[in-house]
Amino acid sequence: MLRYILKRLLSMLLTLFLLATAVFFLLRFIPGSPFTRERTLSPEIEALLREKYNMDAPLWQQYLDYMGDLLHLDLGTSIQMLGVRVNDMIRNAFPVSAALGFWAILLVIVIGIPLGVLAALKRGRWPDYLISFLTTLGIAVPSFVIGSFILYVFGERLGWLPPGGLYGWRSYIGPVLALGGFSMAFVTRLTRSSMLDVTSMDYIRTARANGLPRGRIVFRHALKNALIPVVTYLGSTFAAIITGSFVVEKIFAVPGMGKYFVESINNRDYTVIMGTTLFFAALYVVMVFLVDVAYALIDPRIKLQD
Amino acid sequence: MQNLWEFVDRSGAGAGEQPRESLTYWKDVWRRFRKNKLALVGLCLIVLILLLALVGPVLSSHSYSDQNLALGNIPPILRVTDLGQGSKIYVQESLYQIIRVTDKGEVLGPAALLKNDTIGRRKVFEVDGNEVTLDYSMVREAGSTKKYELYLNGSKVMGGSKTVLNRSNLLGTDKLGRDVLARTLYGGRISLLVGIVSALITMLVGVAYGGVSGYEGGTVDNVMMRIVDLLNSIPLMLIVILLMVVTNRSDVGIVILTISLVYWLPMARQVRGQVMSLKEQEFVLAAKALGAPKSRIIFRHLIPNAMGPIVVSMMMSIPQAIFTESFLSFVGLGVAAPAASWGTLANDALGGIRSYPYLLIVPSVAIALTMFAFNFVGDGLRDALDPRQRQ
Amino acid sequence: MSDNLLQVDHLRASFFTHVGEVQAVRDVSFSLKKGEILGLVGESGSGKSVTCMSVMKLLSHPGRITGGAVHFRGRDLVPLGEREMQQVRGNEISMVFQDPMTSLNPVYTVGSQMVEVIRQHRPLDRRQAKEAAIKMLSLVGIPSPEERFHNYPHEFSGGMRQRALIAMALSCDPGLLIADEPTTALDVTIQAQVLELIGEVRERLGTSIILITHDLGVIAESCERVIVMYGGMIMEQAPVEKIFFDPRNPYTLGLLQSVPDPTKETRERLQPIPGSPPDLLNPPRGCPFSGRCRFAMHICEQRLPPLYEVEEGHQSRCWLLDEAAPRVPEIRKEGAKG
Repeated sequence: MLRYILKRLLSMLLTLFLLATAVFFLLRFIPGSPFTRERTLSPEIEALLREKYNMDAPLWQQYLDYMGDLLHLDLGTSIQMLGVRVNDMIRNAFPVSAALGFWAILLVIVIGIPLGVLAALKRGRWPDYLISFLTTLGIAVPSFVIGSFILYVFGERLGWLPPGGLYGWRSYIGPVLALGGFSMAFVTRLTRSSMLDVTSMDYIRTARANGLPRGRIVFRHALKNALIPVVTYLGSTFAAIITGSFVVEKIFAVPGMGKYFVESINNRDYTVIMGTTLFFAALYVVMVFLVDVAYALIDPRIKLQD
Repeated sequence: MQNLWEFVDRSGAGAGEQPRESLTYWKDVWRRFRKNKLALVGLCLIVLILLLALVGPVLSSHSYSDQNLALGNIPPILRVTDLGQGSKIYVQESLYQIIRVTDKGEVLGPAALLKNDTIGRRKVFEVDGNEVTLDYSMVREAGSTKKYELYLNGSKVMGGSKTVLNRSNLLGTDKLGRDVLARTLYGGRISLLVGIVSALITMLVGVAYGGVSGYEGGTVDNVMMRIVDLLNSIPLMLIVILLMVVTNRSDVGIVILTISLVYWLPMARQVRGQVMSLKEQEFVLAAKALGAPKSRIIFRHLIPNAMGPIVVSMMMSIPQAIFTESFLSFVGLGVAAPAASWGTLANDALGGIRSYPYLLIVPSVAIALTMFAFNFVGDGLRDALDPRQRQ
Repeated sequence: MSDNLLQVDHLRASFFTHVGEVQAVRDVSFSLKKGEILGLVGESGSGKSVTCMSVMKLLSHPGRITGGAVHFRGRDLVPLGEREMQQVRGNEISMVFQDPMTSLNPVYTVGSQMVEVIRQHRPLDRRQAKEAAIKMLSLVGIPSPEERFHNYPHEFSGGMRQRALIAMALSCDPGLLIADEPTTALDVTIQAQVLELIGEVRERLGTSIILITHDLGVIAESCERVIVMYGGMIMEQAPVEKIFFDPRNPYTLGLLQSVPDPTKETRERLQPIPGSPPDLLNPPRGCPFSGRCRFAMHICEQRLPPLYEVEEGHQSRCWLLDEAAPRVPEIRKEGAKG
């Protein structure tokens, strides 16, 4: 177990190192100066900026400096918003995004899984059809469309929800639904089909033949097995929520990581792009690792070795 | 009357069984696919959308890029005010402009602005030789429900208004006066092009990579899969975004290339799994024993047998690519103006969602319908291919 | 029904599929005495498993019992509700299935699954239930049961899992154990051990056993009485030696001739039964076997033969046994002996 964790940590660090290297060199190869804006800068100011951002040093020196900073968990300074440190941006914005992400994942698990179980138990009857209709909607309609509609209908038209920003619990409803909608629909479907698969398994027949009550069979014997593929999917849920935050935070004007990331893309603020990308990647890698551990806890056939 | 106790003569006709009509694999798949109503609806929808995207822009009298700033932001449904004497106007509420229209909802053109009193909050227009004053001073007053009042030659217009469909621009115009229908059809072209072409490239790359990796096994497989694992260990959308930032160009080719460059990963994994399980089967051993070359075994024996699930995956990767493209456009990395995809249209519309919701609704519905259609067909195909259901 | 533990009368069961009603069990009646081992043979689709699933009332949608009665210890199980059946299953009647590899829940330990069943039916606390489970595990011949109790199913071999499943099925001391092809998925050597175990269980616990199989060898080895099923019906019923040495039904005959007999010196050809089982969606009007029977008469295709009593305890469903039928020496032998 300990060996497994160490090994995974090592491979996580390697992944992040390779990603950082790739991102560093990719962004350096973009033609043109990173300081190009609407107004051209005077040569003196540009020279000053180049010096400040260590851009006159040889490439390998820049790379080593950047990696050295990374070791100290220093992601550098924005090149568009002078003096703003990427670390500070993340420190301010991440709690906001994390709160949204937390509620979205809770939505996925607490609503998605029970809905899937319900649909499986009521297979072929109206709750199943209703749930199946809703999940199809959730899977086919992209998050930014869901988000925009919630904002328009409930925010603008009906006035039930605040039109943007994050003030009070009601302002969370729109972004969380838009963020978790797809994954929730997917998890519901997955749980349903997985429950149906499991229900036809031999060990369920054994449990029935041994006179166990129906509730016990469904919730102890079927559900735990049915959750195995669902847990595997949770890793992808994190990815969906991270990428979803780019559009959802933009739509709802939420001052979170996603919004800053998109702004940095539009401003070509390379240090911010790089820093946030690495941060997202690290977050995701850690989450996937936790999912793998949870997976091994549910399924005794999986051993955390190798 | 037959003697019941006589033995039945079986010497003649063989076993009285009627051999079932044998169906080829794909015929059989089609037979089962046809039974799925939703999948059929999806298929019809796809054909319709494809036709509209291909033929629509040609038939449309509007071009996707023609601007007319004076006729911007006209919605698909107009509230026409009758000024009397056959003059009909539409008042563009958010810009305080007057557009001359007909009873049937045809847009004739903007009314000429005679005077613009920004301090008194009133504009004077000329409509068919009459002076029309648009007074919007009451918007400042608290509790005012009215947004403006109209005066014809100084006297207040009481005339009724009615709602008609916009005949000139069926789905209205955007803020630059471009026809929304034309832009949506054109955007559909781009979105579908991106979706289908990148799904095809994804499939080719994925099949080749996964096929080789699965067939070779051993070290080659190990190295090839490590690369896939490495790329897969970060959210794929993040890689797409990074590549788009790095290329720093926004034409369709780049978008397609970037999406294909990333989304072959899951396909390669799947093909590898298929090939690994197939290569242990007898017919492959037989081909090997007969001395068939490696490429022939992979591409003639393994890939065709793994085709079913691959086709399903490809079907599913079309909406995925369309989604990715619209996502990129939405964060400002997609195709650049004047070209448009559904994602760019939705992105452009977001700012004006309060006043011009139709600009957002139209491309959103287009995206959603397309996603539905491809998802239904993909699901139907998967069910039709599922060997467990084969009877 | 006096000393009969189980009495099945005119049982019918069907599956209601979207193409129509598949009549899987058509008017099956038989009985079982206490401590008896009954074999149920037939090819797949003959209705033997469905019959036993009906006895346990385990048929799930779209299958259900459409008629008849199942008396167990004098009580008819057919009208019982799900709740009452739960008291019966695992407690009075138990069942083990074909594939031990998939019949245990992979995510719980073998012990916890046994304890769950025991505590469902017996008023024991956790510790007592554990003791009972370990006792059962050792009874079915699992070495070091205290350790095995804590193992997960995937840590057991196939034969061990089947033993564990038998232990679980017997843990509440049921009167009847139904074993549905319990050895089919196992290696030949393990098969023999499991059959031996089933025999031992009967000896030691006095449990009645219904053994479902398509393997005549298994029947010969362990059963006292045999029912041969075909097309959802009983074709022949007799003590085991009668089935093997004096079969009175063309189908039984066909079954026997399709199995190699290593004791025979002659290099006789095995004779497979031509054709395939009848379509139970539209069951034939006459004898279900008439389409494949080499002695088929016109009456066989038109009218269902009754079960003829050949002698005490030996019945066969075949028109050839009728007085009016032409004499076929393989089937009708009266007076011709010697």
